[in-house]
Amino acid sequence: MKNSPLFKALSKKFSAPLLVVPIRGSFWERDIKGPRYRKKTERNYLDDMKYGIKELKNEVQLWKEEMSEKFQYDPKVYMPDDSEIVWTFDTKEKLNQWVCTSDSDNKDGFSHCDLTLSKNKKGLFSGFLDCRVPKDGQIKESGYCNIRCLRARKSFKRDSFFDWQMFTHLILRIRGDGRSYMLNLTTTGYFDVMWHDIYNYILFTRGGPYWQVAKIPFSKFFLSSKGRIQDKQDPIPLDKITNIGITCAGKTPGPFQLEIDYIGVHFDGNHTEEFAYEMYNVPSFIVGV
Amino acid sequence: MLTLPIINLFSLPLILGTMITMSSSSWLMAWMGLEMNLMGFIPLISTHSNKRASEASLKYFLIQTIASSTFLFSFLLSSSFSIIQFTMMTPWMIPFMVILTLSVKLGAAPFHMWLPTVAEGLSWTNCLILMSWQKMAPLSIISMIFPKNPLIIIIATLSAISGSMGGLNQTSLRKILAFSSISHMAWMLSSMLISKMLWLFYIFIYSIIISSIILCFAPFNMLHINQVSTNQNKKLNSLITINLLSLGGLPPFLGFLPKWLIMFYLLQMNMFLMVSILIISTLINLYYYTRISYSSLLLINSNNKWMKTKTPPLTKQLPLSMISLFGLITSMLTFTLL
Repeated sequence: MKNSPLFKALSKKFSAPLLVVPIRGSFWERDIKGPRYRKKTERNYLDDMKYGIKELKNEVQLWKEEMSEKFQYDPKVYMPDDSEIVWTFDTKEKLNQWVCTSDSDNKDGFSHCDLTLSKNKKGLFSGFLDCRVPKDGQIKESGYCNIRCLRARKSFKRDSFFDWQMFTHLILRIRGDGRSYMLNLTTTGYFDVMWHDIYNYILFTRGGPYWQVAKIPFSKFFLSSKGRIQDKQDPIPLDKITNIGITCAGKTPGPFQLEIDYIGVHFDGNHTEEFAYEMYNVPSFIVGV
Repeated sequence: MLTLPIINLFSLPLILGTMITMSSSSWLMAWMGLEMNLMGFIPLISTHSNKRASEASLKYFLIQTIASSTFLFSFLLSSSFSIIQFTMMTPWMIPFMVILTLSVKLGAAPFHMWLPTVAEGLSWTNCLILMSWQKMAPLSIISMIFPKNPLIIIIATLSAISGSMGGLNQTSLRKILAFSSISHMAWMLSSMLISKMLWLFYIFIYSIIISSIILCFAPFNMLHINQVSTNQNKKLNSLITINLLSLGGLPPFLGFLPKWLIMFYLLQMNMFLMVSILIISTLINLYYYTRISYSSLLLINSNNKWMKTKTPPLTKQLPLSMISLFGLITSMLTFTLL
């Protein structure tokens, strides 16, 4: 494992762990955020009810659209060389579908970042990456900024998935600053051991003034859980994707910016690779592997 | 990991369990056969290499055990009323409960929601076992004990409607075949109103057709509609079309024969509404079967010159598909000659 080219490439930029936590005795987790980041909020029931009534109108509208699409019974079948643009960054409403976090929001560091509309009407993920470690006693390394889209959802706040089973590639039209960014495809599972399953890929950007269309096959994404790359790798389940995110992290402090035109998916009929990493299965009587 | 020793070990309880249920003379042995079948099937489907397969096998295990335990409870309850068999003294709820729990095990509506999600997570071979062999044991219990229960009519109707309507909005092949298995369940249950052996004939022919379909999809690793439509192998496309049309019950193919028999005898029993619901649901099923194959035969005809992939010869697929193609004609000829 330690001699594999994947591990060597990743250990140069992202070396785990970022923080020290007490040893856990079990895999069971009470909630998805974890004890360090769990926030206690006091709820006012009257405000909640008023908010709920306001949301009801939007949700009923969404539900009507869902039902009309469902009863049309005409699922879209994509042909080779078809693409679908899933996110564009033209307007501020579209930017509201993305959540921008940095380590200073979680009291883990001093970086700051923002997702704004650039003067070309494209999304601009920019900020300052600060690798100074706060004197917490728990944190070992610091410096990360992240944008993540809101979870795919159905009407009445029900969780849903992005179904990209018919596609083979992820395409992004971006203009970076030469840094390498990490693409994260979160596939939150139902059970708590699968809550933090994220498929990653390191996107290298060119710093130039020209736009770059990155066409990344889904077979190249590798599985990690809570930031740690898993030994037992799996091809990404394309019908269970919940979020997509872009992370800027590393050991080089300084400003960063990534301009994004669109993020979409593409079906390449000639792409036959199932998974780029080890696919052989060792029989269960062979231990230690 | 599914090695040959594991397959050899666990296929024995899988087969024997169903045999025990089908040849049992007591409730307990029938239940025991169901459990043995489950114990044999679970190791075959829960591979640790694939996250999705282990999740599907967990869901399958939970559903089947809940159904088995409720089935055990319901027949124990019946024996508290009458020790030997059902008599006029037993309340109507007990056959109700038994049939409902067995329909959970079968994946018949209204308890069919688990079948598409579980089928999606399994490999093609396990999908085939799930849709053909796993249906035998619960259907045999229903046919032996309650063949002419009115609840069967309700379950058959619901299965026909939900199997046809549910499959319309799907693009994943395994989910489509799962919904088609739900609607074929409707035909099998309605055949029990006619005779005790007709469902066996139906499931035998259904198993032949579905194994020839899966034999076409599995070696080429086809999991989605657009993979079938972009397939350039013309022989394979025609075999897939023949088998899918046979599954839909179109006349020159074998799949029409069991449906024809069931329709004929149900009409003789004056069950016109039932037959019309079954036929309409079959028509809807046929729509989404042809949607899989028509684009490969009629619309897309591109051959890449620079991409040379070696496709394996169709030696396994051909014999079974020939049964689908010529089975009806040969069986009719033999019946007329005899």
